[in-house]
Amino acid sequence: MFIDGRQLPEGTLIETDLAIIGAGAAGISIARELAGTGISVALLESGGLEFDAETQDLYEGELAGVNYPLTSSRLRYFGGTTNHWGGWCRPFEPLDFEKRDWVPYSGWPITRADLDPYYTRALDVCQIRSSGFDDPSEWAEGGAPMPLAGDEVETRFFLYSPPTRFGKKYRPDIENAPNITCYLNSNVLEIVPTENGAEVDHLRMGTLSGVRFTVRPRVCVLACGGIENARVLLLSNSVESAGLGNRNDVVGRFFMEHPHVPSPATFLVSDLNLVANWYRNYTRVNRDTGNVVMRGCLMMSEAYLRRTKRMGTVLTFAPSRPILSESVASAEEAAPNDPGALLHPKILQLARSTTSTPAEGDEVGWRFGVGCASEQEPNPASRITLSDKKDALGLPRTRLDWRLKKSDRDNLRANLEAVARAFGGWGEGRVQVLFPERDEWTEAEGWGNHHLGSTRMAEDPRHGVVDANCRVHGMSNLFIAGSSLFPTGATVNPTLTVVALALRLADHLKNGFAAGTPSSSF
Amino acid sequence: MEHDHQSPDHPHDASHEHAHGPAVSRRTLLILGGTALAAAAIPGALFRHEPAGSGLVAADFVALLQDKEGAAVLGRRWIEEGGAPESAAVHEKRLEKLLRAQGWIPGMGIEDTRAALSSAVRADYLAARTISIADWYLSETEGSLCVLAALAAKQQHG
Repeated sequence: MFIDGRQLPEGTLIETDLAIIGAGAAGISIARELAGTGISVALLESGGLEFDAETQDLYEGELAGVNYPLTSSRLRYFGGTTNHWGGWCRPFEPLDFEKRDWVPYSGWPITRADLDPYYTRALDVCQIRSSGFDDPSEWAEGGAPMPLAGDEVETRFFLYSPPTRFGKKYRPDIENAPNITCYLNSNVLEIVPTENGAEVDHLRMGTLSGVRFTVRPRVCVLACGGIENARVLLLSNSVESAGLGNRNDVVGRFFMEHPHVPSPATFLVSDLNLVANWYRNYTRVNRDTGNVVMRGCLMMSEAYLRRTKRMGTVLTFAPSRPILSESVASAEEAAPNDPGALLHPKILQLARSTTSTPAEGDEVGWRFGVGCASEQEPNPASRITLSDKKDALGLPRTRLDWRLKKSDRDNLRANLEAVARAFGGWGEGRVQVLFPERDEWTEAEGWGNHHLGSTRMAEDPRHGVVDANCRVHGMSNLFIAGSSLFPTGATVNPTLTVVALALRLADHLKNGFAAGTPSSSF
Repeated sequence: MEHDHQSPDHPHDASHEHAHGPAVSRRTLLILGGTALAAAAIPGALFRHEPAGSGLVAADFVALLQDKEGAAVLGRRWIEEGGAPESAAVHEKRLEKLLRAQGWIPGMGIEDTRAALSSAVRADYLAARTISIADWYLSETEGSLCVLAALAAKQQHG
C-alpha cells in the first residue's frame, strides 16, 4: 500500500523488518523480490508518485571541480531516475571487476561470474528478451560487423529496455504486496545508530510539510542513488561525527561519471552497406520471446586494454550523410555548415586509391558522426561532501567536486587513435580524431547521468564503504544498493548492473531473514 | 572481392606496354585479384624507365592516385601543419622502402604495384605508422603520396 507521509500523525513510530530508503531502480527491485514474503518492508520515498519541484529542489547543491547538473541528472519521486532513463543496457565486462595494476583502486570484491545469475534476472526486470550482448550471429539478419583490422577494437551490442519506468511498471507490485508499505513524501533526515555506532537504531523521518516521524527497522538498505547515498551517510552524524561508515574517510570519495564526448571523432567509410544498419540505428528484432531493440557499438578489446594498460571507451555511430565526388557537388554545397567537410571527398578518394576500390558512381563514401563514453579512473579527490548551505528540511546540501584527470583524457584519445588504426587497416574507412590533447580535463563536454563509486565496495574498510555483501563496514544491519557501490565505473551504462546487484542483495537479505539469523549475521 | 568496371575518367591506353612484363589487356587490368583495384590513368610507362636499383620518380607515385588534386590539397595541408618534409626525394625514398617491404620491386606491373601499395598502407596502420592531416589519421605511405602530389601540383602550376 501507499501512505503519504504528510498524513501521518506527528511522532508516529513505524517498526519494520526492512526499511528501504529510496524507491528507484534498486529500491523497487529489492522490494519486489521481498513481496509476498513474511518480511515487513517499509519503502521510504522522498517524493510522491509524480514530479514535484519542491522535492526536486532537495537535490540542488554546490559544485566545485568539473561543472555538473546535480539536479537535472536525477529525479526524486517514485521510480527515481528511471523516470528519465534512456534504457541502455549492457553488463559490465569480466575485466571491469578485476584488480588491474594499471588502474589505481581498481578491483571489486566480487567477480562478473558472481553477478551473472543476477544479470539474467535483471534483464527480465528491465524487460529485455535477449542476452545477445556479444554474439554478432544473434543479429546477423541486420548485417555483419565491420571487419576492422587488428585485435584492438570489437563490435559489441547494447540491448534496450523499453525503457522500464520502474515507478509506473512496478507500482502495482508494490501497492498490492501485503507486506510492503511505501511511504511517499517521506525523507530520511538521519540514520541514527546505536550509541556504539555499530547498528542502525532508527530513522528520523520528515516531510516538507513539517511532519516528523520515526522508522525503526531491523535491517536498513540505503538506495537513494549514487550521490544521495553518500550524502545521507555523511549527514547521519549525530553519533559518528564523520557520518556513518566513514571512519576511514571513504564515504563520498571516488565519485565517477562516464564522460560523454560529443563528436570525438568522424568516420568516413567507402560504402554505406559496409556499416550494418544496427550500428546506425536502434533496430527492432523479432524473437520468439518478444521484440528486442538492439544497437551495435565499438568497444576496446580486453586484449588491447591489458596490453596497453588502458581503460575502455564505447563509440556509437551518429547520423550520417553521403559524400559525393567533387565533380558532382562541392563539399561546401554538401555541408555548408561544416568547413571540415571540404576534405571528406579527398580523404575518401585517397582511401579508394590505396586500400579500397574506385567509386562506381558519384558517391565516394559516407560520413558518420560519432558519440562516445569513456571510463574514468577512480580518484579519491573526486568527492561528495556536505555544503554549508541547507535545504528546505534544514539538512546540509550536497557539495560535488567531480574531478577528471589528464590521464583520463589521454586514455580516451589513445583509444580513438586505436580506432583510427583499425579503420585504416581495414582499408574501407578513415577516422578523424577530434578530441584534443590538453594538459588537464576541467570541463566535461557531456556525461551520462551516471553517479558512480561514492560508497564503493571493498573487503578492506580502509578502501571501501561496504563489503562484498553490500553491508556497510562497521555496521551490522545497514546495507547499500545502487551505483554508489561501484569500485570502478566500467565503460557502459550502470542501470542493468544496479538492478543485478540489488537482486543479489535481495537474495542475501531474504536468506538472512528466512534463516532467522540475527541481522548482525546477515 | 572482384569488380569488372571501367572508370570513364581514366581510360587505359593499351598502346603503352610495361617494359618488364607482357602487354596487359584492358580486362586484365580491370580484374584484379585480392584488392580489385581498377585502373586509373596510369600510363603504361609507369615505373618503366628505371633500371634495376634506381630510384623512382614522384610522378610514378602520383599517377597511382584517383584524385591527384585532392591528394595535393592534403599534402599541402600536411606541409602547412609542419608535419611533412618538403623534399620529393625524401618521400620517394620512403615510398620505395615501404613498397619494397611488401615484396614490391621496380618493374612490377600496375596490379602488383597497387597491391603492394594497399598492403603498405594497411601495414602502416597496424604498425601505428600514422600521420595526422587536419586530424585525419592517415598512413605514412598515404602522407608521402599526398606530399608528392602537392609538390607535383606546385611544379605544374607554379
